[in-house]
Formats: sequence, C-alpha cells, structure tokens
Amino acid sequence: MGPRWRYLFGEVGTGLRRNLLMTVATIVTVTVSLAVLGAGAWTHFQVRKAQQVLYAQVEISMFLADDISPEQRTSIESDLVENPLVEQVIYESKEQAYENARQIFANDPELLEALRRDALPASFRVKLVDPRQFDVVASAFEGYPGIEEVVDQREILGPFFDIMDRVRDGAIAVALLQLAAAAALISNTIRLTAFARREQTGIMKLVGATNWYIRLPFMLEGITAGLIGSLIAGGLLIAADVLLLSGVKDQVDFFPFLTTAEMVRIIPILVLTGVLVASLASFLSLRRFLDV
Amino acid sequence: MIRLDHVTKTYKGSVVALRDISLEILKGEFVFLVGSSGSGKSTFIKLLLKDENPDRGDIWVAGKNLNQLKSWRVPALRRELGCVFQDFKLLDNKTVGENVAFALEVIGKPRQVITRTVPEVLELVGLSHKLDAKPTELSGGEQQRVSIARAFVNRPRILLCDEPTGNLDPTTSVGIMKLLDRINRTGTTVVMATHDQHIVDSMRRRVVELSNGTLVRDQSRGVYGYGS
Repeated sequence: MGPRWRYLFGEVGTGLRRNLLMTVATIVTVTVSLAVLGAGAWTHFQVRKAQQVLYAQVEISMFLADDISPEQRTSIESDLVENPLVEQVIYESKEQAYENARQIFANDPELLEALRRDALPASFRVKLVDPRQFDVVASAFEGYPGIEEVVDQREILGPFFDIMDRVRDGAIAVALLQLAAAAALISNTIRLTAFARREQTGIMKLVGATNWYIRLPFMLEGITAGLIGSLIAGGLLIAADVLLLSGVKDQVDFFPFLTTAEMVRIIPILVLTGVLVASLASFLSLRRFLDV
Repeated sequence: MIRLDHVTKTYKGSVVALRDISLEILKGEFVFLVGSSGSGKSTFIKLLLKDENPDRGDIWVAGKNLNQLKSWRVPALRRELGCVFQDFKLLDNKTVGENVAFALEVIGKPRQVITRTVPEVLELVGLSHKLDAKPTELSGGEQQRVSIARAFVNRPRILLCDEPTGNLDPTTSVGIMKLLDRINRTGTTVVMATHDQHIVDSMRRRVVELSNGTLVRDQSRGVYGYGS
C-alpha cells in the first residue's frame, strides 16, 4: 500500500473513531431513514406487481343466474366474443368456481367446511382490449336475461391499491425528513473533524496538496457512515421479509407478494441514496467549514 | 522570480494593508522584509502564496501571473514555494521524520522518494539524530529547523519566511540564519519578513522596508533602519 492510501485510510479511521458517538448517531439515523425508504420502495413495487398480476388475471366478472338456460348462456357468450372491445372470454362453471375457491383457501379448512358446493355462481370472466372501457361493456350487458351482476374486479382492488399508494407516499415523506436529519448529522460530524484537523489541513494547503486530496478523507468518512447505514437498512428489510412476511405469505398464497430475491433488488436503491446523500452533505459542509 | 506591479490590498473595514507596491526579486536573492507590526509584511507573504488576492495590481511568482491563476492551479504554485512561520506549525502527533515526510506524502510523492529525501534534508538542517523524536521533545530552535526542513524538502524555488526567529533567542536565531543562508546559496530565493534588527544588520542583504503598507526603502546590502 502506497503512502497515499495509507494516509487516506488512516485519516478515515481516526476521524470515525474520534467522533464515535456522532458516527453512531449518524449511522443510526441513516439506517432508520433508509429502512423507512426501503419500506416505501417495497410498498411501491409490491403494488405494481400486484396490479400487474391481478389485473392480468381478472377484469370483469359477469355472474350468471343459477336458473339460466343453456340458450341464454350461449347467446351471452357469442355476443361477448363478437364485441370488439372484448379480448378474451372464459366461462367458469359453478363446479370450477368451487374448485378455484378450494385452491385459494386451501389453508383455511374452516372456511372450506362452510362453503357449499353450489354456493358460488357460474360466471364469464371477460378480459377487455382496454380495461378502461369497463363502463361501456358493463352497461351493454347489464340487464341481459340470465346475467345477475357485472362486477369490475379492478374496483374491488382499487381502494386497496389506493391505500397502499398512500402508505408509500407517507413512507417516502418520513424517509426524506429522516434523510435531512442524517445529512445534518453528517455535516456536523465533518465540522467537528475539520476543526480537530485544522492545523493539518492548513499545512496541507500550504505545501500544495490538491483540494480533492484534502477533501477525500472527510468525504469518505461521511460516505462510510452512509454506506454502513444503508447496508444495515437493507439487512433490516430482508430480515423483515424473512421473519415477518414469510408467515403471511404462506397464509395468503393467492396474493402475488414480492419474492425475497425481488426485495434484494431494493438494496442498491438504498445504498445509492445513502451514499449520494452522504457525499452531498460532506461536499457542501466541506466547502463551508474547510474552505476547500 | 517575484514581481509586484502597483499592488494594493485593502482588507474589509477599509484597512489599507499594502499601497501601490512595485518590486522585483530576482532568482537566488536573499531579501529582508522589514517594518513594524502591522506594516503589511504578513499580507505581502500571503499575497505571494495566493492566500489573499490583491485589489489592484499584478503579481508574478515563479513565472505565474497570480491574478490569472485558476484556483485549481494554486496547489501547483505552492509546491514551488516553501513556507516557514514564527509558530513552526508542526504536527505534535507526528515524529520529526513524519512531519517532514507529510509534506511529500500529501502531494503524492512515491515512497522511494520520501525515504531518500527526508533523511537528506534532516541532515542538511542538522537533525538526523532527532528523526524519531516528537516536536514537543525539541527546543524552539530545533522545531524551527524541522519546519525549515519540511519547507525545503520538496526543493522549492522560493522560500518564504514570516518572522522565523520571532520566538527564538538571539544565539538560536544566528543558527537559523546560517541555515537559511546555506539554503539561499543552493540557488533558492529567500524572502524573510522580520523585525529582528541584529539579524538584518549582521547579514547585510537586500532590505525592503514597509511602513503602513507603503514601500519606503529598497536597499541592497542594507541595515534594519537608518538610525542604527
């Protein structure tokens, strides 16, 4: 290791130790802020994935009356198939509906016990070319003989997704506030370090060390705190997935949860944010406190 | 080597530190900058280091016009200048050898160069045996020698000294002056701000006198003041 590197790592280590308490406070704040940001990111990606998967599965359900005649059914089906707004029509008989329900609630024997074989109606599952055309299609088929009810499945999920989106926005807002606090702590740590090392930096300027060379140990100190904090936050996120969410995932297996692998992909976002905020805070406070 | 052309420097609060100074210092010269406290000597040195910028006038140091020097080029300028101060400015947590080596490390000199030149320059200032001592274990004169070693280790073209004997007794000061004289004889231009009358009178070198920021005298082989 050349003198340049030894100097650099030595300085970063000394600086982090000198302000141990400040460093711990900084890392904790970075961790908390990025963990909350991670939760926000998780909510966001979770909603997107659920929308993609669930919307692809269902769009409109047309529940049929139990006493529908075969002719009525055939006529509805052919009208649906011929409708230019409709992309795909799937018929689900009462038996299929029951089988599907059995699969979805396989983990809930009590519910299955209570479910009678003929409790669920037969239906047409209709996929539209453009899902936003729901109203047009629905009004065309509502009141058809044999059709009990037309339901936009998206409307069932809509409020849920809206809530999730608000949770995401809230998490990101809290995370931003926390990040601002983390930046202030980093800036304060650097001010203390700059003061403790003012003799040394003064000599460095005098003998012609470049500004970047003087800045680098300070910047790396802040960035190290940001990096450690973001990695811990990433770890917390995965721990939450494995320890808390995995139970829920087993229980509710019809819902397309993010896999652990997909959650790992959030970590780079956290690391990038942590390092970016730390570098920016360091750089700006150096210009102020070190005049380089 | 150094040229000032109608240089004026005013600090905030309208204190005129230097007023219309024009001066040329040639390569290899030894120049005393004299004058009472507040006469502008330290400002003069700061301007040469581009630690301060003049309000008016041009300054050339080591072939560079400082007004046109981009801020990122200032480190390159300072590598051609060595600086010695009254308060030594040594780092107490480093040994003598480390203090001198520090000046080379932070400008990215390779390790081989550092291990070769640090003992050389300590030999020059007569402190080879104090390589591993801490500055606090040294006398004032020895500390100033370390400071000179650090300023000279990169072989600057110009050595700027701001009251280098200000904290030292007369006998020790003579030793420091002998050292500066030796460095000057290697071809290094030396500019020394001082108000030590005995030193100026005994050396008989060029004397530039400032009074309230104005250049009042420029005399080759001069003495401290007319009265002495």
